[in-house]
Amino acid sequence: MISFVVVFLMLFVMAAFVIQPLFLKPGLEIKDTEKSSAALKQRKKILYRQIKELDMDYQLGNIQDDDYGQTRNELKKEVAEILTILNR
Amino acid sequence: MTPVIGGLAINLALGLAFVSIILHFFYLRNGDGRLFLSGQRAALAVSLLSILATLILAQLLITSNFDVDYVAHYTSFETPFIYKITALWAGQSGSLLFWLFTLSVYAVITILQNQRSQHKIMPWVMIVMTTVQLFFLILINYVSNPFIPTEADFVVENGLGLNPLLQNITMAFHPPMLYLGYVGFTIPFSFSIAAMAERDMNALWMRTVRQWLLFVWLMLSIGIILGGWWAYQELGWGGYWAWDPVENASFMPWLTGTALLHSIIIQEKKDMLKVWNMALIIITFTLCIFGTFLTRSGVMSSVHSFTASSLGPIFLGFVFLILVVSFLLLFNRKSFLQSEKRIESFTSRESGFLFNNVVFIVMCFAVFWGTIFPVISEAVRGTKITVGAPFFNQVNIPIGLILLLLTGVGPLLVWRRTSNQSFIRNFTTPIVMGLATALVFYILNIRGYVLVSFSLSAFVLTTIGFEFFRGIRSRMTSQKENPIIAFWRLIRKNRSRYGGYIVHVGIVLMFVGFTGHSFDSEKEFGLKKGDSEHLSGYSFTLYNVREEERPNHYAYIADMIVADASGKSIVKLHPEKRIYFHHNPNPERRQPHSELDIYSTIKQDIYSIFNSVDLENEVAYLKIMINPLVNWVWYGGYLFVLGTLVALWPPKKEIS
Repeated sequence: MISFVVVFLMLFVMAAFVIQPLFLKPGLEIKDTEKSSAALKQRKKILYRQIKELDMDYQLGNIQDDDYGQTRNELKKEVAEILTILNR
Repeated sequence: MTPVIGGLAINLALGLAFVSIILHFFYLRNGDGRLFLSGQRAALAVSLLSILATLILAQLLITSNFDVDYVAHYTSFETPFIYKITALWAGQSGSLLFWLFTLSVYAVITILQNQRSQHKIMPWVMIVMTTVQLFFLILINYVSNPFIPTEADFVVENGLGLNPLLQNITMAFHPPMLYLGYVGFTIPFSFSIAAMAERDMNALWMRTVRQWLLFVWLMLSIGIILGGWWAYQELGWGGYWAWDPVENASFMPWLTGTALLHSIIIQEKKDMLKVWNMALIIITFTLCIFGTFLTRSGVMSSVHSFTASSLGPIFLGFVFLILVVSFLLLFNRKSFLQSEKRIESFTSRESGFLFNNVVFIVMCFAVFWGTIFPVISEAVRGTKITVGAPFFNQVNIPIGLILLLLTGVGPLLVWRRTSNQSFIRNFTTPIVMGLATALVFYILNIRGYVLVSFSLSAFVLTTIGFEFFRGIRSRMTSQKENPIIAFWRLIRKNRSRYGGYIVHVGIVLMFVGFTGHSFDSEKEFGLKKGDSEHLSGYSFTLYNVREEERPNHYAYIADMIVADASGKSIVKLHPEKRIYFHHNPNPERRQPHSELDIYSTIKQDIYSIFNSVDLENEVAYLKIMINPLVNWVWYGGYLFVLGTLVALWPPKKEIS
């Protein structure tokens, strides 16, 4: 008898848990509640980190002046593009 | 009652896994968010039910419920508490349930972590993860069910007990760590399939995949190191790695995972190598499933494998399915993944990483070939030809040494192009150090791989030391910091880079330890009380043989004094010969086991094994091994873990 009750309860609870959203308003739209700019912000962080590492390599003398200038400008350009989009 | 609930939980989880996959597919078809929420809840329910089933099995093991066949097979009343828990992964069906449990925990974390983000790819992530869960649920429900009742028409008074080899504390941590690594690769795999399916691979995706990769790679690494530690402490042959098929099964995804960890950095920074990285993720995950197949199918004989079973063809089918579906998708999304950027110079960090990737893959292929060769030879020629450690060593030692060289070269290369001046400046001192080391060892009459390994180790340590030195000096000049603060902040502000260097130092120490194996020596002998034997400048004197009855075994203990060349006593060793299940009336079920005693120093280990005892003539038969530099492997392992934790640790304050 107890096993029957436990089995029934398990089935009932699981079924209710899974089915419940189907009783919400039809056509429910799923959107990221985290800001849509999150991916761009993450990319910006990566670029900042790359600039920092580049500066460090330059300080350590691992990279030539022209390569350093060119790479830094490219990274800064991408950051500027992201900032423009984020500030819109 | 509880076994019934356990059985029901896995039944219900199986059904809900189907439901979840179907709901997610319907959501992808018509975009009705209710289906997504319901599908995600079904996925959550699958995981919670799987976790519940595992906890129930653990409870049955702890309470010695011998009505369940699995419990009666792997525990007994005498089994110590900790090993009743570890019995959860000691047998076939329990370990499959534990695989599912680990994946379920990961699935719950993935769902909770991404409740507010990545909704575009999450349905696919859940479809892939639930499909893998579904596969294991099918196995657990229909092929190897841990809740099957004991087939006996009498009350089972006691269980058979756990294999003595598994009654070692490392076994409480080694398999769970391996599982965390193996199973964890499902997450980056799921996110990669999802990203390809939705053609969406943004910086958030990159962050998720990189963090998970590093974490599961760390777990797999710890699992492998602990496995080596267990083999060394428990198996009594004096080594930690035997190129056993099951060891190789964990090593192969580690190799491809390590390659991936390097090449994904290029993707993050340069938006290159996306096709290559996707292929690596697919191969790594497939190798994890293949490894599970090797352990469980019975096609390979190994000290680690489970008994032969019907699981083999099912696993092979799943491996085939993963490969076909994933590579078809990859082929279909090739244009989305291709990058316009190219590697600019041979002397760039990009090419260094790429070269290291190629070497890792070559090594993985060599290990794979050696592992499956017995199966292929049996299929083709009808005779199982086993390739042993000599083959693996012959092929992998040179490849390993190339990797060691790259460990030193890589950090000195910079992105895009390394200038000639910096090349000369950065490499001169390390090369001189490497050559000087080579000369010293040459004078000491050491040749071959040993000489190369020690020289390369010196070269790599110098490159890393040089990097730390220049970083500290730069901070001392620019930030006016003292050397200790500069050292601390250098690491804290560049965790990924300097964490990686610490890992590399760990690897060098491990190579030093591996190389020490070339100087091993050993001797087997029989001793009566008061007699002595000599090996490598040490004397071993047996002064007593004791007997002791313990709860789950009977032990014979050899008491020995070890003295150095001057006759000064340095340590007492007490190796044991144990008889497990000694109360069993059937002598065939009593299991002898040698419990080692090891005297460890930074220089070497004195490793003692009590082989057997002749009570009538009062002779103890012993084996002594002198293993130089073994501890360096474990010290390297600690640094390896520390370095990965440094790289993994999130920065205190990120730029917003």
